[in-house]
Amino acid sequence: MLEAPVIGVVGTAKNTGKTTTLSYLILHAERRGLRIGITGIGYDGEELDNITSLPKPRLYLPSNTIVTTSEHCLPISTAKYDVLERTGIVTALGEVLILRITQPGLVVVAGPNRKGTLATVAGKMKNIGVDILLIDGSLNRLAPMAVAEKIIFTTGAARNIDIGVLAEEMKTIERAFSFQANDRELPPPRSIALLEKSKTSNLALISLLDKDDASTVLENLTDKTECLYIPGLISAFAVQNLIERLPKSCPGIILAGPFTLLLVGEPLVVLSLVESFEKKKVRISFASKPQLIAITINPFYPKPTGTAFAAAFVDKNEMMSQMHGAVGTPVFNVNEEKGDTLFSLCTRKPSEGFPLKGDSMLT
Amino acid sequence: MAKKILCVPLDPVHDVGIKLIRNQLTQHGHDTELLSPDLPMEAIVKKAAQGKYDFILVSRTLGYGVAELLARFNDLLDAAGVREVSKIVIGGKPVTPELAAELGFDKGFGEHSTIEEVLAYIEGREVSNASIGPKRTKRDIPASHSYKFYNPEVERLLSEICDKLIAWTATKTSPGIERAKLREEILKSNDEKKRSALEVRYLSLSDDAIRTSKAKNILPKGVRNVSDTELNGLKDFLRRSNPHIPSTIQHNPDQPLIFKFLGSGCPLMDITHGKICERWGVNGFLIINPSWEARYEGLLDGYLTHENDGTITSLDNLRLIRQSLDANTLLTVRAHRGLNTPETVLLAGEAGADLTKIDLVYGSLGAGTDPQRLAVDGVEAMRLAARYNMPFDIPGNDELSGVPAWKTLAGLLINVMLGLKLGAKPILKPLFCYGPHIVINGQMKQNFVDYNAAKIFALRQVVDAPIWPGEPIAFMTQTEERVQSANSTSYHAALAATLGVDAITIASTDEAYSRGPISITSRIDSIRAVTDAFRFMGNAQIAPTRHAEAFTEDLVEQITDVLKEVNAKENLPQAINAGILGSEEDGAYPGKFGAGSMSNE
Repeated sequence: MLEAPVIGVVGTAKNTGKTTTLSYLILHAERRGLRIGITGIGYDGEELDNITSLPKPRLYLPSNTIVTTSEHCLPISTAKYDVLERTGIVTALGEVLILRITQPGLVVVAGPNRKGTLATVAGKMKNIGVDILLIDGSLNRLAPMAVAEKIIFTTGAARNIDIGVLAEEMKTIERAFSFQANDRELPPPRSIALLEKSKTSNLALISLLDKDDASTVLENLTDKTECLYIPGLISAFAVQNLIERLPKSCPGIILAGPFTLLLVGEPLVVLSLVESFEKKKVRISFASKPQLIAITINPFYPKPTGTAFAAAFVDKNEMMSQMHGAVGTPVFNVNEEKGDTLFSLCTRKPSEGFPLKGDSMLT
Repeated sequence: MAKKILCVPLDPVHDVGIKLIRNQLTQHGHDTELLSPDLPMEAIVKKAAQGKYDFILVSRTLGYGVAELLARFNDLLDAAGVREVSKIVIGGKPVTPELAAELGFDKGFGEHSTIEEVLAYIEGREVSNASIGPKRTKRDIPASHSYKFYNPEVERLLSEICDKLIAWTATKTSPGIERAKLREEILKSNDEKKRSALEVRYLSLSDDAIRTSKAKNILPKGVRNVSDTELNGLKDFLRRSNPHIPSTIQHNPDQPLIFKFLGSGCPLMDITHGKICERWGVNGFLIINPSWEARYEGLLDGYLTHENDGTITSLDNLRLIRQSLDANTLLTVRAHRGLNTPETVLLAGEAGADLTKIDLVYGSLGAGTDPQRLAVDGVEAMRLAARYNMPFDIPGNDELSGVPAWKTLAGLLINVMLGLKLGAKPILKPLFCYGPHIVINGQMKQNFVDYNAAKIFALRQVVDAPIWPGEPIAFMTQTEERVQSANSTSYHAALAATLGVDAITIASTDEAYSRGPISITSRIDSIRAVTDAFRFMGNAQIAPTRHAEAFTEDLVEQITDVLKEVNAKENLPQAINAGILGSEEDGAYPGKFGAGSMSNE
């Protein structure tokens, strides 16, 4: 059983408030005297946005924080640090290093950029010893965040200035997270598997991407098949095609996790797929089930002005009330948040459906 | 080892780049596949998953919503397990390493990346940049010239003038020469006591200011020592600044070498600018020293810096600059004026400089040194240059005062013959400038091509010697507008290329107008402009009009007349004082520094 909670901050788009949310978590973790571990899958803490050139919120890390970042980020960081480990993992900004902050300061975080290496690094950081591990997302990237146990989704006007649309989208995302974890003993996530009571047949593919893939599955399906485990990627089209052609007593489908559903496309596509499941009464479950613990909203968006961008805002109260009305997950505006409620959600004991099964993420 | 590479143009329009790279990769023996640009992402992911590629190269220019699109692509590849097997690379004009990292790519290549960098990454090796690239070799400028004279009359006149001068200087010495001898002994000696004694004698031949400064260990006002921290910082900078494969300015090897000035007053700033210019393809530098150095007998020692124009001449400074620049970069140390010319050449030689600058005529006519003193010192300086095998350029800057071109060119030729007789290797440096005499008399009214070309043709009719126009080219044609300034330099550079000269000195776009040190961006402005001009011209020609021929004939005739007049005088300094190589009317005034300071040997 893993002690330190692993929190992933995922964005629906760039500039939705990931760094600000992260800074809030760091602040509260520090107040409680927790040993903080932090890494990120993109490039965060920089001074100016890579695309809009607008100023970004910086990451200020306290002493004793364990932070994993790429070596080319070090010259532009102001914190003082000891290098604890050179991981041998390489990103576009050089080798990924695990550091301990010895003197607080600003840090630019560019950690491992994919699921496999992120899982490795998370394991190393836990071995070094942290009380909470924070994983910073990047843009709207999802796949590596499956390493986290608890997810905070950030959204805001930078995703869409239509608040109603934002609320609907988060409703869909919440729904994608609502399926249960499957407690079957699952084979290693190397290929699509047809699971019978006491037998497993593995197919030659890991993802379900097109009609041919659906046909392959159907050809190998028997009436003894209880579950279909798809550990890789799915496309909405292929899955819908499959469930159209499934026999009446269709097997349950086990997906890697909620992110697999979100990766099929825009929220409307996800919604349409989820509704097909309901219509066809297909049981969906997940090999691993990160919890969606909170949603944060950001009224800011970069407004294009000719060739440059300017800071602009939508009505934050309207945004809060509409979002609050649409979803059951707690909603926060981090800049307005006075207490530590959001932080408490991170350290609360996990609810049922936890811990991870089948797909072992942390080595 | 051949790699398996999938090339994915996610851009329906801008796929030229990835096609070029794909061709290069194939030529280097790699197994490459190029997808068509209109496939849906899931199909690309499936292909990527099935193919088990070593690298997946994605090409996409950035635009609205593209960042999210690319990020999603990485997500799909990750979820499909492709990222366990393949490295995902993004290429596009605005791509930077930071952007690549943010979007989750393993590597990014942008507008400034070279195919060599891409290849090195694919093949898993360092970009080969041990020194600055294999194409950089140090050129010996005089090597391709015979120094043969084609005009017997001019040759005879020059020869007589120089023989007389050498005979006249043979019995004379100066404090400058003596100091140079002492310096040489000091540098050779290992004996502490002996060196002290020599240094005392050196100081006795120096001006008060220098003597006081050295004796009391106080530096002149505004001058200070470079600190150890600064020197260590420089070492760090040089070590950390990984040599980048430099651009080449020349489009073909026949185009001239490019030189720039350094001389901000601070050797560290000079080196920083020098390294950056090297990366942009500059072939060599000339160090500008402070004008006050010319007025004092004696030079200072140590790593010296001051917030004023010109970097102080000291062996330490010169060595530091020489060692910090790439070994294949040429370095000129100027010794054409003032009271320290022989010693400067000596220090230049000891520091490992490649070239120097000596001009007995301009140094006294336009740069303030007494003609007799400079003649005596200059002959010794040329001897030292010969000894250290350093070619020297002869700058025809007299034109800038208003001296007619033919008088200036006559002066240049006198220096050439003198250098040859003393065993040295002279380089002609006629100016490409819009000088006062030309402005008044209209030789460049129709175009800037004919008269500049005529100078070159005229010199070539006399002798086969290296020609290196400067100083810089386009002098007096530039305004404060950076674009205009860069343009003017580039046009003159294009002319220089078609004339087949050996080298040119180019200015930075704020050189004439900066109110402080020259900015690095203004240096790069003119480098880029010249690079483009060379690319544009290639091996094509700018054709002068028939006026150039007439100008050339006139120049040769006028040069001959001037030399006759010079030869009629007892010696060169007398001729200079008489205004033959530039009169007061022209705007030239023989210098006064060092007057009467010579003595007999």
